[in-house]
Amino acid sequence: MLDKFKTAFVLTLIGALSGVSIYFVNDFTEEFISENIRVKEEGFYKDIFGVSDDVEITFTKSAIDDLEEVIVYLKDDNSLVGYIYKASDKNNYGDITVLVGVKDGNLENVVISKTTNTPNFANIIKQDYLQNFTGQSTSDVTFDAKTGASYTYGSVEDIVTSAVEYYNAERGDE
Amino acid sequence: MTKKENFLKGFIKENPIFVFLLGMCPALAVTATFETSLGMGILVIMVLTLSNTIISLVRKYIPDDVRTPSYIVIIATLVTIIRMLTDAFAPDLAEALGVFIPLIVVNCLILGRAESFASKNNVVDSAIDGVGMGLGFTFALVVIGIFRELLATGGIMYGVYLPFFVSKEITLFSFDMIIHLFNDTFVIKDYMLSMFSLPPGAFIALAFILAFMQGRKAKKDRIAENERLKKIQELKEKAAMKKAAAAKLAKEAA
Repeated sequence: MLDKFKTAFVLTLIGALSGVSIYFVNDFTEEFISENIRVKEEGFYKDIFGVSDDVEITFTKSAIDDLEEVIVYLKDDNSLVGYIYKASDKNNYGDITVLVGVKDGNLENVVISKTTNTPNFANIIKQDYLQNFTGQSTSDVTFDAKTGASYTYGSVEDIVTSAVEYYNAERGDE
Repeated sequence: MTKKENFLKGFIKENPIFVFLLGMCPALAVTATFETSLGMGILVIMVLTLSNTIISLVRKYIPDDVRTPSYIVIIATLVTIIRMLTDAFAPDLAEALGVFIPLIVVNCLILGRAESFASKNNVVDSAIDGVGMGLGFTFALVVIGIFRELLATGGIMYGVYLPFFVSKEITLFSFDMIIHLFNDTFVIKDYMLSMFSLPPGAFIALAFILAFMQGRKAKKDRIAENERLKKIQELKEKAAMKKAAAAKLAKEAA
């Protein structure tokens, strides 16, 4: 009986010490990780609108159903740079997060910011198909019919469609 | 075993990848470039050294029937901590290694050393074993990484994922550096075997390296065997000569 108590006590102690160590390391690294995520996100926003690295931007975020709307401004004069719609999807290859940049009624850029889809398939879509969205009008977006059959492109298509639908309905007149 | 032998055994003689074929998952998955291999190696050195040290410290207090789950919890905690630190201080490396950082928990090298060494030896020896085996593992990953990156891209880059010592990416070596000494227009990069940066390339690269290592070992064994046979032959000849001399003496005496 005493042996069982000893075993249970040792396991509890190991579990508790593990939890405490993870808590303190999390507490210490949390700020750095959030900052890294922010910098990376800002980098994506700048890439989407072709803003150079030395120009500072600010942005506001709001959640709309499955989408997140990010409104990007230049820090200097607070002028509008554009809108970004961020959404995630789950397909048979894994998860995917896509950013859709819209400016003056046109698609500025579509970027896959995070994905666990099969890297080769995701890379093919990134390199050969996303650029086709650039410059398309939000009122008439055409998708690649052949590639549309792939799970990765299917997710991109769904997210772009919902982003464009929201933009046309809510921001189309801006 | 001396401390020096304990430290050095992991490099060649008991190399986890080339000899024991342990930890093959990261060896195949993250060795597309020199830098990711080095990054994974550094993380494994940290986890292995810490896990060996902690397990050796607490080995007398852990009941035998819950030994393995306890070790797994300790290793998982260390991997979680290392992952958080990587996310915080080397985010590009964390992204490049992706799911393979959490998978260090199930790397059989870590649990293997905990079971076979740290649970039976003192703290200092266990820590030395952890560093030595970790360095051996890193050495193997880096060899595979360099081999694959050279064949796939024709060069070795640094500074893409690891943020240490350089502020931007640099080319450590490139075949083009040598070729451009003789011909400015030819770019070998365009003719490299990009397959080696893909999963099949990992298997082929590992096969080449293992074949080379086994070939060297076989050659060494053959030389040792020949020397042994030669010694036996010499002893036989000496014995025969002694026998003949003894027979001659006996004949003369008779």
